[in-house]
Order: sequence, then C-alpha cells, then structure tokens
Amino acid sequence: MKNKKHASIKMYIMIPVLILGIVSIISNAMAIMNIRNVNANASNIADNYMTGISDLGVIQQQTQELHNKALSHIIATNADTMISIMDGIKTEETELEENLAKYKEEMSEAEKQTYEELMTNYQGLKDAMANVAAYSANGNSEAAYACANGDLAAYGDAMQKNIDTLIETANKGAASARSQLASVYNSALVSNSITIIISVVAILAAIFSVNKLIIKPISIAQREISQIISDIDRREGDLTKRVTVYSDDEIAALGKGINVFMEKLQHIFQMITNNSQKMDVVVNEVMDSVRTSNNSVSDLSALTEELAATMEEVSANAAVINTNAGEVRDEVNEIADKTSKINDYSIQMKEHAESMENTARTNMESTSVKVNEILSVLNQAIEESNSVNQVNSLTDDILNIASQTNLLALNASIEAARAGEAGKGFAVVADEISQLADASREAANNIQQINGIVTSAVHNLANHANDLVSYMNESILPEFESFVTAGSEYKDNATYIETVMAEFNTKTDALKSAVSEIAKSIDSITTAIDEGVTGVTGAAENTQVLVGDMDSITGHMDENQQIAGALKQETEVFVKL
Amino acid sequence: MYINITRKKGSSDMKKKMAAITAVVLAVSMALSGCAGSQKKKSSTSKTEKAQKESGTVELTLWGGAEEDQALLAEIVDSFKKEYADQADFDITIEAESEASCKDALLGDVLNGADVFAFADDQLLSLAAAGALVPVDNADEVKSANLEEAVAAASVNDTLYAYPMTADNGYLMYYDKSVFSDADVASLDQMLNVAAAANKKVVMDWSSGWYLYSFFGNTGLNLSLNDDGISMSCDWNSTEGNIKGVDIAQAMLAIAANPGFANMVDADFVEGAKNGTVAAGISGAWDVSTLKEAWGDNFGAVKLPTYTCAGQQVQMASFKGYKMVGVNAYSKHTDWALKLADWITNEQNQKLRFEEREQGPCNNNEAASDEVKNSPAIQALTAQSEYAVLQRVGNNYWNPISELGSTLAAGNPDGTDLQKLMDNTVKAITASVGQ
Repeated sequence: MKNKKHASIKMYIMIPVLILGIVSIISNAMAIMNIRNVNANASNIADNYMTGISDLGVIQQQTQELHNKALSHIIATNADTMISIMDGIKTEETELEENLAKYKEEMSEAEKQTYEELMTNYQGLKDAMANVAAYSANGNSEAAYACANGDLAAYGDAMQKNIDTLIETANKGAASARSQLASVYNSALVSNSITIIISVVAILAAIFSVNKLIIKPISIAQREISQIISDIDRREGDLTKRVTVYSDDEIAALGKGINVFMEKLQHIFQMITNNSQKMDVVVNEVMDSVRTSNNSVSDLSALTEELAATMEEVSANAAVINTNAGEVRDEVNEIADKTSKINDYSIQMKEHAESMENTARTNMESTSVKVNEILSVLNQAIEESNSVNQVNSLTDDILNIASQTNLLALNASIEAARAGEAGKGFAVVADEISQLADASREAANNIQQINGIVTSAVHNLANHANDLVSYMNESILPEFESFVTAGSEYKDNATYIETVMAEFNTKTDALKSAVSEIAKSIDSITTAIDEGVTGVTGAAENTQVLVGDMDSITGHMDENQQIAGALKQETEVFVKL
Repeated sequence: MYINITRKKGSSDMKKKMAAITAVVLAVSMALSGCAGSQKKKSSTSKTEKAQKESGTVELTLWGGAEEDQALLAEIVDSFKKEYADQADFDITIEAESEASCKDALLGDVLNGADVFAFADDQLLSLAAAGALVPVDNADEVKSANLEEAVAAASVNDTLYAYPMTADNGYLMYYDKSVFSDADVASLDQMLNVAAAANKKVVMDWSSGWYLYSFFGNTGLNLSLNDDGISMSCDWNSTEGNIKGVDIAQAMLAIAANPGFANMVDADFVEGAKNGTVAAGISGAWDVSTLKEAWGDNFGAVKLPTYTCAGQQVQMASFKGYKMVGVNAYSKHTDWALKLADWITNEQNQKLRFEEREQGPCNNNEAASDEVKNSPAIQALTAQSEYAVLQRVGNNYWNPISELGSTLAAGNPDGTDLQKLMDNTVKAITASVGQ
C-alpha cells in the first residue's frame, strides 16, 4: 500500500518531467542537426566561395601591382631604382605564384579551364615584363613602352577577364549554397513548432500534479510551522505543539520528520535549561576561587619584586668587594716584587762577604809566608854573621905569626950582629922584618877592633830582626786572623738574610695566589648574584603575567556567567517544555 | 534518438571522449601532414633529378666571347660535361657573341638570350637593372678567389652579379720590332713618320668610342656618368683651359692626314699585320696570340705612346675593365647555368685562357704567377694602367663619338667648323636618356 502511494507521486511528477526532458533532447538533437546543416552550407559559402573570391581579389591586386611595377621600371631614371624594382617584382611574382598554387588546391572542377587560361596569361605577362625591363634597362624606352602597351597590357587584361570569370563562378556556387541554407531553415522551423506543442501539454500536466500532490500539503505544514515560530517570537514558544499529517506519502514523511525534530528539540531544551542552571553555580564558585588566587598572586608579585631589588643591592656590594679584592691583589703583587728584589740583593751581599773573607784569608796567609821567609833569611844571615868570629881567630893567628916573625927578626939581628960586617945587610933585612911584623900586629889589632864593632852590629841587627818577626807574629798576623773571622761572620749573616728572604718570598707568592683565588671566588659570587637577580626579575615578570592571566580568567568567567545567564534567558522563550 | 540520449546522459564522459578523439585526430592529421610534407619534399627533389636524367639533356646556350675564343670555349665546355657527367647530360650550344655587345644582344630579347654569357664590366649595371642576372650563389668563395677590383667590378651594392673572368680588358700598342726601335714607340708622331718612311701603317679603330677615348682622357677635359647610372656629363667641347676641345680635333685631323696612319677595325689590323702592310696598331689583349703569329720574334707590345696636341706631348689614355660571366635570370636551368659560369671562370680555366689566348687572369693565384707577370701584353697593360680608367659610360656615348671619329678620320670632308663639330658631339653624348 505504501509502495503504491510512493509510486503514484513519482509517477505524477516524473512522467510529465520525463516527457519534457525527452522533448527537449529531441529538439536539441534536431537543432544540432539543423545547425550542422546550416554550418556546412555556410562554411561552404565562406570557405570555398568567399575565400576563393577574396583570394582572387588578392591575385588581381598583385597582378595589377606587378603591372604597375613594370611600368615604373620604364620611368625609373637610375639603375639602383631599377634594381630595387626588379627585386620587388621578383618577390611579388613569388607571392602571386604561391597564391595561385593555393587557389588551385581549393578550386572546383568547374573553374579548372579558366584557371589554366589564367596561368597561361600569367606566363605571358611575366615574359612581357621581362622584356619591358630589359628594354627599359638598356635605354630602349620606345620598345619598352611598346611592349608595355602591347603584350603586357593584353596579358594583364586577359588575366583580369579570367579572374572575373572565376569570381562569377564562385558567386554562382555561393548562391546555390544559400538556397540550400534557406530550405534547411524551413524544415527546422516545422520540426521545432511540433516540439513546442508537445512541451506545452507536458508542462500543463506537470503543473497540475505538482500543485495537487506537493504544493498544497506543504503549504498547510508551512502555515502550522509559521504559527509555532510566531509563538516563539512572541516569547510564548510551545515545544509541545506538532504539525498535522494528512497522508502517507513523501510530504507526510516530511511532516513526521518535523514532528520528530520538534520532540527532540523539546528534549534538548529541557536539558539546556537544567545544565545552564548548574553551570551558573559552577561559574560563581570558580569566580570566587579566582579572585582569591588573584590576590595571592598580586602579593607574590610584590614580594618577588622586593626580593629582586634586594638581590640587586647585594650584587652591587659584591661588585664593590670585587673591586677591593682586586686592589689587595695588586698590592700583594707589589710586595712580592719588592721581596724578590731584596732576596736578590741578599744573595749579592753574601757573595760580597765571601769574597771579603777570602781576601782576608789570602792576605793573612801570604803575610805569614812572607814573615817566615824574612825570619829564615834573617836567621840565616845571623848564622852567617857568626863567621865574623872566625876573623878574630884568624887575626889571632896573624898576631901569633907577627910575634913569631918579630922573634925571628930579633934572632936574625942578633945573628947578623954576630956575623959582623957580613951580616950587616942581613941585619937590615932582619930589621925590616921586625918592622913588618910590627905592622902586621898593628893591622891585626885594628882588624880585631873593627871586627868587634861588626860583630856587635850583627848581633844588634839579629836582635832587631827577631823583634820585628816577633812583632809580626804577635801583632799583625792576629789582626789578619780577626779580619778573616769578621769576613766569615759577615758571610754567615748574609746567608741567614738570604734564607729568611727566600722564605718571605715563598710566603708572598702563596699570599698572591690566595688573594687571586679570593678575587675569583668573589667574581663567581657576583655572577651567581647577578643570575639570581635575573631569575628573580624573571619570576617577578612571570608573576605579573600570572596576574594578567588571572585577570583574563576572571574576565572569561564573567563572560561564562553572562553566557549562562543569556542561555537561561533564551530557554525562558518557551513557556512549555 | 538513442545516441542523443546517451550523449545527454554522459556529458562529462562525452567531453573526455571528445577530447581524446580530438587529440587522436590532431595527432594523426599532424603525422599525416608531416609525412606528406616530407614525402613531397623528397619526391620534388627526386623529381627534378629524375626529370633531368630522363630527358637526358640539360639544354644551355653560351655566349662566351668573340670568334677567336670559340676553340677555348669548346675545350672548357667539354671538361664541364665530363666533370658533371654522372649528374646530368648536357646539350650546350656555344654561340659567338662579343663581350662588348653582349648587353644589347641579350636585352634585345632577354627571354631567348643565352643562359650563360660573358660581358665587359660596363654592362653590368644595365643587366642588373633589367633583372636579367641571377646573383652568384657561391659569392663568398668567388670573392675570395679573385682580385678585389675584379670582384668590385662584378658587384652592384655589394651583390655579386657575375663571375669575374679576366682582368685585362684594355688596349695597348702592338708593333713590329723590325720596323720600330724601342725609342720610336714612345711617341705617335715618331711612329707615324717611321711607318710612312717604311711604307707601312700604324692603325687604330676610330669608329669605336672604346679606342677614341685615348685622345681625350689625359687632356684635363671631363667625361663622366651621372648618378642615375645612365646619362652623362661631358665637356669635350670646352673652349677654355690648356687644351680645348678643338685642339684635340685638330690633333686627330693631323694624325689622320699622316700617310703612316690608317683607320681600321681590329680584324683588318690582324689581317694587315699578317700581310705585312701594318707595322703597328692599338688593340686589346685578345689579339696578342694572332699578332704574335703574324710578327713572330718581332712581336712587341708597349703602353700607348704620346701624341701631339696643342703643341704638347700628351700621353694617350685608355679604358680598362674586367670581363665576367653572368647567368640569365630567365634561364630554365639557372642551377646548371650558375655551375657552368663558375666552371668557365675557375682558376683552372683562367689559367687555360691565359695559356691559349693570353688573356690576363683575375684569379688571385693566376694573376700572381710568373708566366702572367712576364707576358709582354700584360706588362704593357700594367704600364698603361696608370693612364687608364674604368669604362663607365652611358649608352649615348658610343654613337656620337663614333661619328666624330669617322668624320675626323675622313679629314672632315664637309669642312664643318670644328667647334661646332665638338659641340654637336657633346650635345648628343649628354642628351637625356629614354624620354
């Protein structure tokens, strides 16, 4: 039963529509066929006859131009002009020949004979032009004119006639094509009239069935829906109302669909009303929480800002300490330098002490050697001076000899006196010897006296020398020894100072590195503080952002509250749900 | 109907199908047209080759120069046929047509004129103006192979219109050494006196403006082609200056009246040399061979002498020029005609031309060879070139000057006033052309 009803509405609407469609297809197909016919005829006219006629026009014009150029060759007064005219003629001839060849391809059988004549005449024209140019260039104007007025003109005219004939043929062809075109038009007129009548009947049938089966039920449903909507507009919406359904066709299905929709809508609105009330409560709660958080965050922001400020101060102080540590380091460095210099100086001092001790020791030793040498030489000399004592013994010997000699002389003189005269001479000698002995005795006595003086002098000398040596041994050498001792002590002192200074130097180096490390540590403390400041500043900024976010959340929650309110208001449109 | 419905239904499918079909159609048509094009090309080239081979003959007409050159030309044409025997068969007709008159002959009936023709450089401009010349296709090759001046003489506005062939177009004095000493040939008066005493003649062609220019060229008077390339300026009738127009006319009358002088054309000169009546004469390089034959060891060639004019010794002037070979633009076989023209003027054949006809080559290598440099005629032309100018005259030059020459050679039989005679000549030379 249902199926039958469904089928009936389809039938009522689809059959007239189908008829309309078929009619329009047929009429279109016929129109295409007719247009094709018309097009074929028109193309035939345009392509063959009109193009042919226009080609012939071009050919005619080119022929005329060739003719004119040949004539201008005669009039030309110089060779260059003639050459360029000849070049022009040759180009023109090539073009004309191309056009003639093109025309030949498209011409009809009827034109063939005339075309052949045209070609013959064209050859004649070309030959005539060759002659005209030859005569003209050779200065034979008379012959040139004769040929131009004779052959050239004759062939030109003949070509003109041929072209006219061809145009006439083309026009005839065009005329017959036109009459064919007219008959096609008439048949198209008849067939199109028939299709129009069929179309009108189909349209009337379609209007009737559509009005009865579709438009009426739809307009009733539309009125009821309008009623429901106008209630809603007046804020007296009633979602319990329904559209009336009469039949059981596609329109009825549409009405039922609307009713189902109304029911679902009713259900949905009930839910919305409930939910929007719940939402209002939730939003209020959230708003309160947000407000509280907002205050906390603001406090937090102020605190972090303060912290940041404090950190900045600390950072400034650390920077001052850093500067001071740097100064201390510089001073320590200076002390280290000085210490190092003193250390160097103490080493030098030690060297001086050593050299002084050595010098004193050398002097002492060399002096001691010299004294001993002098002493030994002196002792030896004293020793040797004892030989002077031998002189005494020797002079004693001489005295003995002298007394003996004196005795002898005395004896001799006695003897001489005994001898008398003979001994007289001898007495003289004995006298002389006695005198000599006296003299020797005297000399020896003198020697003994002098020797006594010498001996005492030597002894004096030896005594003085011994005094000198003992003075040297007792007074000067100990002096030297005290010098050596002083030098040695001086050296020991210098060594002590060096050792102390070296230690001091080591200590100052240690101090220096300690101060450097302190400076470094202060540096890293400063950096850490700076980073801390940046971090705290960032935290402050973030807190600021958080405050902003909290504000916007508050704003959005306000919006939510408004939306929930609006929603509630909207649902109030419906009096009944 | 069924088709229509399916079309409507699957319009998007249809679009795809249509696109595919269009693509296929395009591809096929392009492939076909491409193939067709290339086939066409192939068939067209093979067609021409085949046509030439099938017909068996490429027919060409050659105007290569005067009668004396015919044997040489036959030899050159034979070698040409051999060179290209594998490519085509030839039917080449050689006709005698002087290089001097080539232009008039060709432009008189350009469609039936020779396919290949030799001409002097003064005709180039008119031939080019008539559109009768095919520009040289291997111009760069030809330009580098030949003397710069010869190439320039064969070119108009930088287009090379002909193949340079010789560089010796000019004239000089030939003489019999048994009659004249080296000193005699320095002055025309002396030559005429010696010849008269020996009862022989010194000859010159006074019917040709080509030779008659020699009396005017070095007198300080002017003859020139106007910018239009056709009309001329001339003051050979001048009544002012060192040498006046009438002075030259009088000098020529005096020469004509000398018993040692005779006015005769080149052919008669050669004949006279052979039979011993002529002992000297002015002619071009083309007569070297025949005159050598006539005089044997006594053959001499020298630059032109001086002549007496207004009481002064004036060096005789001359035209110089180049000969070249051109191809008829209306030839049915321009490609083969160009090949033949190139062949006639290539190094090998310029050498042959010098060997057989003693004509001075313009090929760089040949012109520099010792054989060429040592030729007496070439030496004489080289000496004369100082007093020579390129022949650049309009059509109106030839007839009036020829008439003047003939009148003076005949001794001015009508007793025309010489100034009037010169005035008439100049008036005719400078007349406007073609109107």
